[in-house]
Amino acid sequence: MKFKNNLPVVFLTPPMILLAVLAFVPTIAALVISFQNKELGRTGTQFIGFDNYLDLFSDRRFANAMQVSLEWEAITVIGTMLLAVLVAVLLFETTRGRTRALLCTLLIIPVLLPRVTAAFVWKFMFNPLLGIINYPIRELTGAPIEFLSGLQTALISVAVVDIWQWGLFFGVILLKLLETLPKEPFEAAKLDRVKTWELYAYVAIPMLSAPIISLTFIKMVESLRSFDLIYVMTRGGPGIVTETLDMYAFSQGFVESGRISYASAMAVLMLLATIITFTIIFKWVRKWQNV
Amino acid sequence: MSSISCRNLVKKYADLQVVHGFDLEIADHEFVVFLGPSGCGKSTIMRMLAGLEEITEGELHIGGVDMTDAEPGERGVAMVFQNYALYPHMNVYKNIAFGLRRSGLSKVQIENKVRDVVKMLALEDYLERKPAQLSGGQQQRVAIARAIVKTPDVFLFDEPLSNLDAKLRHQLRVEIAKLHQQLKTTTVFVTHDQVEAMTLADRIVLMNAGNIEQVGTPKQLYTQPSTLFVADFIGSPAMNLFAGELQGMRLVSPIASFDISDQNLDFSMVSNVTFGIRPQHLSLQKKHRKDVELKGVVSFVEFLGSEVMLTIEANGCEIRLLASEGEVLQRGVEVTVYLQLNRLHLFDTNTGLRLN
Repeated sequence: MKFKNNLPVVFLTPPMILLAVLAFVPTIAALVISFQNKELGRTGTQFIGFDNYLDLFSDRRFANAMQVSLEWEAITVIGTMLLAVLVAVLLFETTRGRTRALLCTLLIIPVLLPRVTAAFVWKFMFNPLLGIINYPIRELTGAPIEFLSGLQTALISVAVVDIWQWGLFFGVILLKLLETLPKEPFEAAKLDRVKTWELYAYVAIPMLSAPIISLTFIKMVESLRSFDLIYVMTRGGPGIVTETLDMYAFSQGFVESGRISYASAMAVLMLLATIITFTIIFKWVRKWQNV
Repeated sequence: MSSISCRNLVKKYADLQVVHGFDLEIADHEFVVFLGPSGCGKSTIMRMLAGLEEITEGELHIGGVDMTDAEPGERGVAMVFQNYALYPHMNVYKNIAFGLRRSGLSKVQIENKVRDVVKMLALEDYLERKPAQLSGGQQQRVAIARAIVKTPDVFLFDEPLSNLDAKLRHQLRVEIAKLHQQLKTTTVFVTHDQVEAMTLADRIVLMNAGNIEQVGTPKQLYTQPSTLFVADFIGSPAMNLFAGELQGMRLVSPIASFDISDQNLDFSMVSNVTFGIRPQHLSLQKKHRKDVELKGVVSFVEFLGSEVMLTIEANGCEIRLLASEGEVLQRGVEVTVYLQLNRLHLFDTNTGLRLN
């Protein structure tokens, strides 16, 4: 009996210790450091209160990073979900049996690639001189498109890689969810004279709204962690066009100036913004689902 | 409203043939029930009528128009499914109105139509609810409303009452019968429940293993079953059936042997026969001069309310008899059973076909 009562403690202690070391310690450390004026390679650190935070509000590069981050979230989340729905419906309508199973396996491969690998592969494909994407463009128009160094194309081009990895994977998940839906509402809809697109827009996709919302949340969290992809492909460039918050914090803290405290303040703000945004969206979705 | 004409309908799944040349003419306004055990192909044929299953061979005409290869939405049929098949994310109103939205009616017209149907099925209080917030009976009424509101040429019911409890089933059965009296739309109703079939149908199509066993009014199927299968399937409690042999004008069997020269028989060569008599047509009192007498012992008594079902052992066979409640008997009592010969059903054991 006693052993049974101890079971939750036994199972929860190791992950809690792990979490404490890996998450709580750095978070609290970042919070503390953000109120100091710590810089790499300089001794003598003092507490300076909210100075770092106040500086951030007048930092236009920070405002830019904020905007890029928001754009990145919007493009990758919406793009991923749209591609996922498209892939799922297409496969559900046109394939069955073994062909479908084989295609599913192929579509999962991109997400299995390490992000850095995927980033390098696509960076090479986007290359103006050697890339496979630019080859036909160069043949047709005579000039390659500089996807990763163009002001308009850079962010989209990096987002394409993210959407390619996750959209196809989510497409497979949605396809499997479509397969679990009961057949009868589909048949009833056919008797109600719906066209194929209406069948999905009005019946199938709404029936999957709960898992689709969950997947959207997962993707929103995942999209926040874009650092590796952007780091490999553009390093925030050209200029600061693809510099998201984490890229900017990284370059402030380690690459350009070593201002650890300033970067920490950014990280803390990011944490707060994320918590607040997600709480609001979560509550809003719940309310909307209950209506 | 429309007639339906099925001409030699065949359904094959790869090598497996499940419907073997189904022929049937259904008249306008008629209420036809497809009855049969699970897997007899009755639902498959209904789905072929709806266009949800492809017709492998044969022709289907609805209202005189060839609908063999038409899309489900173009056939003018509305279907009610066993598990309701409502759109789970839409409320009752939207479920009912969904089909109308695609028919080019104005919003006001749709609303009027929905209100009428909702009133007919007493669903006014539930319009804002989602299907998950309704009971099974209410959900099925919504499904029926969704079918009615389209004013289709043909109603198809695919075991609509099978998921409901006994009381609701009876209630909804009566409702369906009343709706048909009111709307007079040609209706095909699939069920494995003979009570539903007997009470609702103008005509019953009794099916077995992808073939029609008999088509007829409920009374015809009950009083003149044309095959052994029909005799066994129709009627509750089930008919007593015994194997026997014809020797001239005499039927010889372990339980009883008697003269059958009275029966209007089609003899020709048959010697192995099966005879059947319903438990209702056996009696403990002699009712007719020619009744066959059987001596036996009561081996089991089932009290059914107004009636008592007796299982009687006679000459090493068991025979079931429906007695009135007043004749309460104990196990082990010796009785004399009288068989009404004019209620006898005779079948060829080998072919299963009726002989009298």
